[in-house]
Amino acid sequence: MSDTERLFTTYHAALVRYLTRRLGDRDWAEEIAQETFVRALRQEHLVNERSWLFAVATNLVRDEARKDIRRRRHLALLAEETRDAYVEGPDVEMERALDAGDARRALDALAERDRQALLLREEGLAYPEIAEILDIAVGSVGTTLSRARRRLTEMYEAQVTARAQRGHHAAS
Amino acid sequence: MPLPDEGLIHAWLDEQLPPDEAARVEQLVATDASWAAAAAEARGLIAATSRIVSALDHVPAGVMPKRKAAPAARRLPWWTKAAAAVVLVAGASTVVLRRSPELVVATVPEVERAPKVQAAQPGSTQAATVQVPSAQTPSRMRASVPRPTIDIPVRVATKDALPKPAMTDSSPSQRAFNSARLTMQEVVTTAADSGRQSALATGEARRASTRLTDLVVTGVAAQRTSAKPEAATSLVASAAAPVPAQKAVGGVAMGKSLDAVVRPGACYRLHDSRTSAEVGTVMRIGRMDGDTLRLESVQVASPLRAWVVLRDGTARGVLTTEAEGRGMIMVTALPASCPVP
Repeated sequence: MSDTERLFTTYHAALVRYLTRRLGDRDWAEEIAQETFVRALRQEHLVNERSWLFAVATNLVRDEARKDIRRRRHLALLAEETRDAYVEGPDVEMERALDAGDARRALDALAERDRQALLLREEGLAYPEIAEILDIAVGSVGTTLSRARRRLTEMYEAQVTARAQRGHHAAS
Repeated sequence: MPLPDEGLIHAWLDEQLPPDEAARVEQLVATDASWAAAAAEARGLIAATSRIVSALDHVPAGVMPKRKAAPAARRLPWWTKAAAAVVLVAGASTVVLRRSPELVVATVPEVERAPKVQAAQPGSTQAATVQVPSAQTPSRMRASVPRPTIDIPVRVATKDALPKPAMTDSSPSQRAFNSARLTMQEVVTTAADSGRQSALATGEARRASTRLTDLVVTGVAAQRTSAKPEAATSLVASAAAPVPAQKAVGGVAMGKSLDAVVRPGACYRLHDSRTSAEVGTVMRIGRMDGDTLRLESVQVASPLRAWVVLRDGTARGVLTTEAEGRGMIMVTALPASCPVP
């Protein structure tokens, strides 16, 4: 297996998952992952390939978000519409869709750096790698993560509570 | 006892502390109630976070607007190119002649006025010259004074006269590409020289196109399969010219030197490198950005698209599909004839 294949096989799934979680859109995530791997192919050497890939993907997301906010809003709208369509489905599917919606809104409520740190850690990146990607001190990664985790959990619980209340009002 | 450090506790639980630091935190958690409570809370937050983030994986796909495949490049028949070359040469000749001083009504026989072309010897770097009659001298002088000529340099490109490519790699594949590149430069240069040579240019272009069989585009294909999205198969580059194995990711960038060989609109057929089975449809070069090609399906609205990077006689990249059942396979893309629209 060549280096390219190994790189691809090893990191593609994780990268797409990270990007999907970050962007909320699988197609968009695939596209960013594709661009990331193409950039990797152009590199002579990759010292730390995992952090390099995630850093490039993170930067691409950042750049895209900067230059194409309207497109992102459009996609978010489409995704919302699709999620709404899921509500029409079976109970389990509906519950999962609602759960995903709550998680998305909770994640979106985080600061960008906190969100990235959280998602990178969920993909198993070590603190030094996260620090390198986010350009922060290694010693502050723990603090960033603790803040992000607390905030995410609080926001998620608030979403669930609000949804339960809406459901209660609708029922009564 | 120090107050609980939340960041430190998270780092400890994430097993990201050096051993001595981890031992110190462990001791604090074991002996201090506030540290123990903070650690318990942090464990809960970590578990909750993982669960919440996992919920994000339930994301609908296919919400991006589908792109249409790039329109097929317009292909002109060979005789239109020849005609264009004739018109170009005629126009250029007119301009050159009109710029000659005192060019007036022709009073000499047509045969005398015909420019005498002294072609460069093959392989020489010397520019050829065209002898064009200069200012028409009065007829009374023509009998005794030899008619002067103006040498107009016309660069006839030969392989040796052409600038060498910037690449220093002397691998067989590199040489194959350089050769093809030079051939294309010859074609371009000589095509501007005369209509007669434009016919040759067409032949040369065909020959250069034939050499595309030397080129192997290697890529990574994404194909949605319901079960194993990360299933990747081996990719082996094979070429008419032997291609050196890629030891590392990347290599010497080919830059724009391949632009002459890999033309916009050229087509490729993808093959699963493991099974050699054909994958997808014929792909066409939709865009060229330096050494990177964007391959798009010839079929309108097909979900296949790819980016490949040209390097050392191969082009490797990533191909993905927006179709359902996405997965990744590696493919070899071989030059193919474009389907007639």
